[in-house]
Amino acid sequence: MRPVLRAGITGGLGLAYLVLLVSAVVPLPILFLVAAVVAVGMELVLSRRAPYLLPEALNTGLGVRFRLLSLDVLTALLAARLLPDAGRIVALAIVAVLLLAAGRDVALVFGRRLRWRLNGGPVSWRNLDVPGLPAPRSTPPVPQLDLPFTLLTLLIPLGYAIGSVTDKYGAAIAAQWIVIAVVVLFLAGRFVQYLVLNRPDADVREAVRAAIEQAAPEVVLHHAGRRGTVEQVLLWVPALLALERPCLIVVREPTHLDALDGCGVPVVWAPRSQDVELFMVASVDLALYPSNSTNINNHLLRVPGIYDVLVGHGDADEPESGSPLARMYDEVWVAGALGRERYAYPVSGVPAAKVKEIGPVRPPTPEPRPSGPRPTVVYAPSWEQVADAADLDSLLTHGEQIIEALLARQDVRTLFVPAAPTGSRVPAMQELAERLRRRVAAAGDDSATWPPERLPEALAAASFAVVDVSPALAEAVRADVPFAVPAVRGLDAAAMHAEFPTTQAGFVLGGYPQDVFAALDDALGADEHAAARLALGRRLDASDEFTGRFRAAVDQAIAVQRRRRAFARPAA
Amino acid sequence: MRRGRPAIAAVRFGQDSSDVVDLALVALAVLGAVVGLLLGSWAVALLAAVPSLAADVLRGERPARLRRLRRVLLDRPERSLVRNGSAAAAVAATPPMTEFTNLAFLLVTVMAVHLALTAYTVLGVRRTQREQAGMTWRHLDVAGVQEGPGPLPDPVQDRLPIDGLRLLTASEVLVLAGFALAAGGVRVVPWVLALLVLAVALAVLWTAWRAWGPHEGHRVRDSDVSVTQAVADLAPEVVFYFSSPADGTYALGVWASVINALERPVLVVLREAGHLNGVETILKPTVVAPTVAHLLAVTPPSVRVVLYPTNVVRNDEMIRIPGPMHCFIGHGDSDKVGSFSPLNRMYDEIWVAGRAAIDRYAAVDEGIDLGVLRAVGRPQLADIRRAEPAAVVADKRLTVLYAPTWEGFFDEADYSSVAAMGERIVAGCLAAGADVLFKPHPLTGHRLPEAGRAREAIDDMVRRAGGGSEVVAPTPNSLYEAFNRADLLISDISSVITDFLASRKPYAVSNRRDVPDAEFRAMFPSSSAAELLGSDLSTLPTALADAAGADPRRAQRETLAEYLLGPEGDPMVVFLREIDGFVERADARIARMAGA
Repeated sequence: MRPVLRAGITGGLGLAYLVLLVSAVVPLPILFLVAAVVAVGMELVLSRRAPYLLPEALNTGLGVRFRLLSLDVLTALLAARLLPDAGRIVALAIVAVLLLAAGRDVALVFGRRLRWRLNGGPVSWRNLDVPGLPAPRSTPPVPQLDLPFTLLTLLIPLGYAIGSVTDKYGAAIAAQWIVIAVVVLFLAGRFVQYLVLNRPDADVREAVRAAIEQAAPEVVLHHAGRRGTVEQVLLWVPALLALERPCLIVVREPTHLDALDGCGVPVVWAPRSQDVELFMVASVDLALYPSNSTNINNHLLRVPGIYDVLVGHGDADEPESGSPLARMYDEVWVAGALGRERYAYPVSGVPAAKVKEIGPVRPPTPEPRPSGPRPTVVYAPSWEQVADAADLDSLLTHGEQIIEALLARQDVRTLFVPAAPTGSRVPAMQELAERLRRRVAAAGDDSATWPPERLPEALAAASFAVVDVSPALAEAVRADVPFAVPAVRGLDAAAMHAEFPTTQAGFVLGGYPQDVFAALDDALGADEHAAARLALGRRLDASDEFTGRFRAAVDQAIAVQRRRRAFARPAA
Repeated sequence: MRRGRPAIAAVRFGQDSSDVVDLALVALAVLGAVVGLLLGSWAVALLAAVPSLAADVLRGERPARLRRLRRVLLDRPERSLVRNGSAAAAVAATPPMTEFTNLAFLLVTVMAVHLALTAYTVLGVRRTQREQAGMTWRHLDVAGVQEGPGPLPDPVQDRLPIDGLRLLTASEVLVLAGFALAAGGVRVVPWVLALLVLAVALAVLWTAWRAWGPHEGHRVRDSDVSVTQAVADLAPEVVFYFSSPADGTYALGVWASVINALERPVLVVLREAGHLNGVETILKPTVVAPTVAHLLAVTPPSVRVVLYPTNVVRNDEMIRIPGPMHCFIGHGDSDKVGSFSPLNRMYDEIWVAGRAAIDRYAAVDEGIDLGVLRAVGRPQLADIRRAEPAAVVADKRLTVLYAPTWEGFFDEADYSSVAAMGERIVAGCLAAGADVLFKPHPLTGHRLPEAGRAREAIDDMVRRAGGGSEVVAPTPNSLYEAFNRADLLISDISSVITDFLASRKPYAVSNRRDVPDAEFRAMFPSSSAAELLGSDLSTLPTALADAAGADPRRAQRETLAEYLLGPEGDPMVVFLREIDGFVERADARIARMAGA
């Protein structure tokens, strides 16, 4: 479907521009106007609705900017062909169309700049009152083609079309003067607006720093990651609030801001390493990092005078949950004994004394809802992670088979809960997740696709879950749900058990659909892994009493840092 | 392996740099067309288009700062469009009356050239994506070739002394000539020219298709496989791992003598190809590994230890690879924040010059286990001549070396005197009758433009002074050669002052924030035997007098030198012995892990 559509649209666009070329040279002003209307209409719709429908080459060598510019140039040529004896009018046409092209570019530049300022640029913040600055607000992205300016492109062709009918070119000349006037006035207006709204970047940064100083945060949570990974921050927000200490969340990408709006903890977006340094006011003692898979953590780690703790975002056998890189933190906090084993010295190089067990950080357990007549099963695959090396998801390889197997069973209700960042790196993942969502919806009954934040609720109601090696596995164990893990990377069950020990407390799926059926039957019947799951749960979490342990660990870390501090952070 | 969208660099294959100069030349062409139309002279319009076309054909590198305002610049296809469009309009609307067919055919030709250029680029990009030739190497025997793989070979250049993209752009000269002839009323010839251009475009495309298309005219290069094999055969035990901003290559350069002296199999791994231009002095196997996959490919199990001269974010990617032990060796020892960054916790060991550095880590207490610190000396200082006490001849013209540091990645790491004091320091020395050697840090101005401007002003001042004054070139050993020529060093908190102590000559250190002397010396022990220059430079005459012979701090410098620069003895021998010891420790750890 897609290739045919793509070929059709590309062909249509190509034909429109070919007609423009021919009708400009012949010249045929009315045909030119018609072709121009078609071309501009298609460009506007495509750039707003479906830019991906155009082939790659059209976006690199012959992009929309080039195409509209060629429409402008051909308009001037049309003028030259229509009025070969009127050099002045043609010269005016050249000036008008090129000014218009420049106006389109500048409109986009100003549009983006304005949006950037409204969003808080050069930084941004939420849940924080910065005196003298308006609260940043999220505005939709600026479209690539400015609507009024793009429509203005049609005015001069219209003038010449009228001219060719009436044989008087006053309308064309007027159109050219109107275009020039509009562009000049617009540019002047935008420039004044820019001067009024603009303020030095340094002033904005300083004002935000002053506001942070006022808030005097002691604990900072530093997050960098792709779209969707903000759930790793949201997981920690209740814990931060329960600390009853001033806290600050620093995010490194603006995509996380809206999800954190109103969460109760001040949030700043620090795009550059210098911004991180600037925002680390003297009151900051402790920095918490919910992810270790990003090199950007280094920016805060290298700021002296702060105690750095890797807290993670849930337990799993994922390679990153035991990286030797974890050494760069002062401490690593894990849920329980299982986490400690992963960092065991000397394999990864984190000394045992630097690993602390604080219990599981979890969203509040939902009230179990009365479930329907059929037992519930959950498929909660992981996402593709930031690199292939760390990718353990089953969605792309087996997702379809798993969903089909679960839906084939009339005796259960299926809930599909894909991870939030699914598809943020590999677009095919997003398409697949979308397709499976439609498949589940088409199955009818009470089967459904749930958003990632309802995973705890789904597990609370579940009798069986298919999960990947990811925090979802630990959540299944905590909810005492019998689970199965699809084998990945061509490993067999024994190899999976060896590589990812947590899988030993559940089934490993190798053949579809028979293994899914077998695991499901066991879960609904004998539940042969019940004891193993219970044992794993004990090793997973040091204690259920998370809040108290977390608070004590924070107090202790801050005390250590304040002792250390005597020398660090020389007055600059 | 899943393939994402093509990298930006690949998409920009063959495209030139569009900058404000190109934009100005197009504006000239448009202006010419407008003037030509008003005067009724097509010749003006065509002549005005020539400079822009010439610049496109002869395109070369221009400074990056000309490329600002990306959104309003014109890329090559757009420049050609505006240029030819204005010319065509001018030709069509000036006397004599132009024949319709000529004009139409020439315009179609212009569009055909665009399509050919786009197709050529797409073919080239597709080919680069299919190739496995991302790793560049030097001094390594890869299937008999000592260095490679070079840029993608251009099929047109196989036969002609010009590459395909340039030839296509150059064929527009014929289009412009066609416009001129058509405007002049010549018949048929413009047609012939247009046909010739179409023939050139088709020939170029055909050649590219034969070479890069499915016919495999050019072999798809897969040198990455051979590089991986060559590295495995080399079985390196020691890796020097290097990543830094483009102008920071010097930080690896200071280790060249050590790398060349190593007898164990060693591999230098660079993460950015640009550094190859600054490490010509390294004669051991060197590989550029741009991606993590490449990095994994050139880290065979034989690697025991990895040494890091810089403290950059990309070091993380190497440390994530389990197996070898990792050691931060730095590129100079100083009291800068970077020399005791909390981030250094990620290394198994941290090697420093002398006991001073260990005390520094202990004093800041950033959670670094002091057991991982080792004083190993500074092998780079082997060639610095030590001055005899009171060796200065009276009335000799003094030579002052001003070697300030740069402004650092962030304000807290900014110790530079360049912007605030540099010009006054140099002017003061010159006024006192001294010669000045100026050796700015290569990164000066990287973050703060005002530092870059001050550096240029000092450059001018020193060049104008003439005589024995000069700007020291940024070659690998130039700083140490300048040490040997200087009677006095003026510098900032940086490794320069520590290294200069090897000469035992007097030195002065900038204190531009006017921290009280005692506090400053306590904070930065490397300045304890120096004259301190406050922001008003009132102590500059004392510093110059010290260099002229009144030198009360000689004994202090002797003690400080040993404290900062580490164990006595030939520093190169000491360092190579340390590497042997480190490899043994790594072996022992591997044995322990196997047993565990």
